[in-house]
Amino acid sequence: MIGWRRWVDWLTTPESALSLAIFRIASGISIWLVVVPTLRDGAGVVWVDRAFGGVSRLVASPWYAPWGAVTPGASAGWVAVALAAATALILGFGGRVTALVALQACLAVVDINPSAGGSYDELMFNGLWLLVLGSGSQTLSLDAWLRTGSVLPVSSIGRWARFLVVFQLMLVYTTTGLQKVSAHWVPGGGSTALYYILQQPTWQLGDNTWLAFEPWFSLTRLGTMVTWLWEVSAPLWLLAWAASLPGAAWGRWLVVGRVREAYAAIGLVLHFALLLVMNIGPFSWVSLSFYAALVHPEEWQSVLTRPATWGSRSP
Amino acid sequence: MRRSLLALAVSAHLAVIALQAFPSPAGGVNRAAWRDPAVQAELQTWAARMGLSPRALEERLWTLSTGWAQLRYDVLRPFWAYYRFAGTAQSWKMFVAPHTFPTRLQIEVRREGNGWERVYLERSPDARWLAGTLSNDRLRATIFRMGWPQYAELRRDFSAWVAEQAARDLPDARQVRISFLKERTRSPHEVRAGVSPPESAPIFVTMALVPR
Repeated sequence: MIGWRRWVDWLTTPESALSLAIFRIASGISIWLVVVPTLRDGAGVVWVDRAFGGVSRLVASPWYAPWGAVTPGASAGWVAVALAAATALILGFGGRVTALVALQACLAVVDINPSAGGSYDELMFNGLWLLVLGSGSQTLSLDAWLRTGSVLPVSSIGRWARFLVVFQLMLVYTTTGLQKVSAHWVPGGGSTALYYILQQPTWQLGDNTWLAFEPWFSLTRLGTMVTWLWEVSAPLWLLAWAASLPGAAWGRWLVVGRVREAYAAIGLVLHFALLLVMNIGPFSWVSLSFYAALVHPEEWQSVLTRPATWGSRSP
Repeated sequence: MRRSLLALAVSAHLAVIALQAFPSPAGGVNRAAWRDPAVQAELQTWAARMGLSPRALEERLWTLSTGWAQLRYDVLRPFWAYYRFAGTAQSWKMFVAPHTFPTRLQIEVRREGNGWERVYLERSPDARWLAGTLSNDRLRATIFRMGWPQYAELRRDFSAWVAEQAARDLPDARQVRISFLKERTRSPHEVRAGVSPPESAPIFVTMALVPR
């Protein structure tokens, strides 16, 4: 019972709404980055049923296609709704309702063809649902301006809203790491997973045979080891994040060792490296939008006011 | 009271998403897919490490995987609507293993009185008909899936779509052939030694005829 009370107190501790607001803006941008590239070069055919010129047979649930067919017009309509809601999300207009509309529109247009989907779709959906649960437009928003006359009012929300975002990110990293069971991934198997993945035509940006030569091959082996260890140990990152929260009276070694910052730095390097050598869509950008919630509101405040002073809670 | 209810709701959400995200073989329990040489190579490696025959390991894994997938399905069934309509589905099987025998999409057309002419080869700098569309990451994901045996219907639909595009863009073409060329990826040692790709045989070939 004491444990439950502490859990309730921890979750409902008020904090500035700034980090969640920045996550909201990043989520709106993510929708644009996920939807718009598909409209280029005729790739939008993945969101149209075969009977109407699409590449595969699509069946939408009555909830998303009450007219019964996934036509180009229906697809374009949902795309328009998704992009309008994304813009409203970036501006911070409409609160939770906007996030819900954006989510449902994205589900309708993107989720209809799982064969043409990526993990970034699911991650984006999850982020939007968290903005339905938590209110991301308390500050840095048009809603705040209409309510208080200031775009950036001091506004508090429960810590749980940001915790859900951070937990979701850690769940992605941890479970993807735990499922990397190939002999090429796990320690003792040569650590050649990244080398072979970067040779797959599907995900290549260009010819990667040069990675077979030194020092690049050794770099791919190092990357394989770091990626696997970083992913499976992501729960430690979650602990480090919680320990760095204002008022935390435990896990001081995690704060002193700047474990949260170290994990975030590795994550940034890995995601930007993916952007440089692979074409896996906007996965890195959608993932990085969640990083906004890893940064504490007071740190964002210092970034916005005095960039040079950014850092974790003082050891 | 309100705070407790909120904490209860947050805890329920965490539990429901963690349950679905928990590692599982869901989506990969397919005998045909397990016959792929990349999967067989993994089985051989692990069997050697565990002191089992590859066949024995495969049978044990099959029993475990089918049971696990069914149990997972039963446990998660009550939450299906939450995953579907709240967008909270969790499936983070990203690059669980490198595909050491990847496929490469090739499209050929036959014009009147001529042999097959390659007009598209995945990632080729030369044969680039439809390359703009097919290089989009969503089409890449579709093409990747079509390299696996269980996606026969997707291959048929895609082939029919390619045939329509050929009829529009290449009016003198009479037939179109879509192939998924399968090659073992060369090891770093083989690349450095200048060894040619060791195997090169189209595993999946789909013919789509465009009668004119």
